Amino acid sequence: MRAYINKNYIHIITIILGINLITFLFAYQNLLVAKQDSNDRIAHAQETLICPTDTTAQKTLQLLSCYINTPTPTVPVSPTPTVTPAPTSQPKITPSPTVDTSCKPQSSDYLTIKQALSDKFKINLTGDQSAVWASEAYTTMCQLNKSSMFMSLLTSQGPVTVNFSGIDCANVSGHADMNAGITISGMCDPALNRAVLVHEFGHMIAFRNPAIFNNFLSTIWPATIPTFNCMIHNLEGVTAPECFADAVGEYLVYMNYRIAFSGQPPGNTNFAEYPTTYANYYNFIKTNLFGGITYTTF
Amino acid sequence: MKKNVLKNKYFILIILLIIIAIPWLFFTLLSSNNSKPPVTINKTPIPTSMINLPKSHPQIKARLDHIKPGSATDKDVIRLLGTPNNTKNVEGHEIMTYSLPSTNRENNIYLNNGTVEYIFEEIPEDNAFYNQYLNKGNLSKPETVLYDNYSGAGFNWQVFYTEGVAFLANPVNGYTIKIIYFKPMDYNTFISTTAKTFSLSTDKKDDREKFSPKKID
Repeated sequence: MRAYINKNYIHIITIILGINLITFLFAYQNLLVAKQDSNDRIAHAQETLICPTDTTAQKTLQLLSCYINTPTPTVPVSPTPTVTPAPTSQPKITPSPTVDTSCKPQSSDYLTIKQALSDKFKINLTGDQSAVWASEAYTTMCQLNKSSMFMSLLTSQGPVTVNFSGIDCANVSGHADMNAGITISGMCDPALNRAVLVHEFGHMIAFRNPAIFNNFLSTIWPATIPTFNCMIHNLEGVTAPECFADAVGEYLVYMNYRIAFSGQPPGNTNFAEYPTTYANYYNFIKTNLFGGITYTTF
Repeated sequence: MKKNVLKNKYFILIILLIIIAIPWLFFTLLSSNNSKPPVTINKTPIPTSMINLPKSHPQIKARLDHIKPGSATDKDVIRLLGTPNNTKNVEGHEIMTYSLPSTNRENNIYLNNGTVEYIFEEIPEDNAFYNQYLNKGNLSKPETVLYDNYSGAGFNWQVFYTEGVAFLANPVNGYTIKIIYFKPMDYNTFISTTAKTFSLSTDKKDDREKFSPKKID
């Protein structure tokens, strides 16, 4: 009897194990089919819903079905844009040079200076043939030329036309146009003249290098500096493009001149506190436009 | 003797049944978990203008793409974007503000009586969106160009009012810094509503910056 039970017991065990094996195989097949089905649903959902690839985005998108469907989502890579975006400039840190006393034109003749501006700095001078103004423009360009980053941002896409007219000291003004270049009216002391020219160059750099201006909007704006075109600007109020351009204009002259008009905004005649009190602005210009080159004397 | 044998049989049977049940239950549960249908979200259809837009800044674009001006509600916005960082009421609009990470910028959702009217999107990353939109879309140029104070940095509003989108972009290289999404409309309606809301002008101001001599003390 015992032998009979033992013998049957073995058969029963064998049958049971066989059933287990079949059950296992059946369930595993179901598992594979279900996984494929789930992936198909995810793929369909992702036709209309983009699942981000970076982990930071993944953490912030827990509401989306990308993450409800699967605990570890497989995400498609967004197709690479076919149009090359505007190039970004890489900060190039170069040591501040010693004071350069040779930043004066070799000639006092307007046409000679004009030619030198074109040959050396890609600046095309038009308008009134003022040797005084041309000489000051040359000196300013010579200073700016100490920063290869600045010169590249300004002129790598082509020369800049600068039209100069008038000698009225009380009404010095400037304007920049993406296509036509810069127009400057009036002239006064050298610090003011330099501030005007470099401010307008700031606009040209924004036109030609939109990534830098966009970076300014993201990291500096809406902070302001106490200069006329940033704070007031023809009663339009505070505007980002003018704050950017004023910040560039002040970078070479802050120790001597604070951009103002008719005493507005009120403050010191110079902007000596620029590098410290407004360090965010100063350092942004220093890093992203001048590659670390600084100007501590006029 | 017979009783003992019977008792053992039942005992063995129970054990064997347990042995069968455990793996069966295990694999059945595992397959049912994975075959669970995905949770469906009632998504508002993506407007044609947005389908053509290149995808960028993924964590923002992916969510904004599902908010349709004119039909999405404040509840849809919160469901997709979460609780806003700030809300305010300005000239008849409730504005829900969402800060962009690692920037000083924020996207704004404008609502009118609980319905999304405008999406004002900031684009902090490098791009050529405007040119890509032109390349993919049905129009070869904007339907109109408007201006605000960003013209001073070379950016103008390239408007496609029948498509419901406007790009604040550099027209030369297509670099875009802001986008407004709105319900498609005609020109006059756009000028009297959307342009007015965002202070967009048909006049390109030819203003000049002013400088005056420093005071001599």
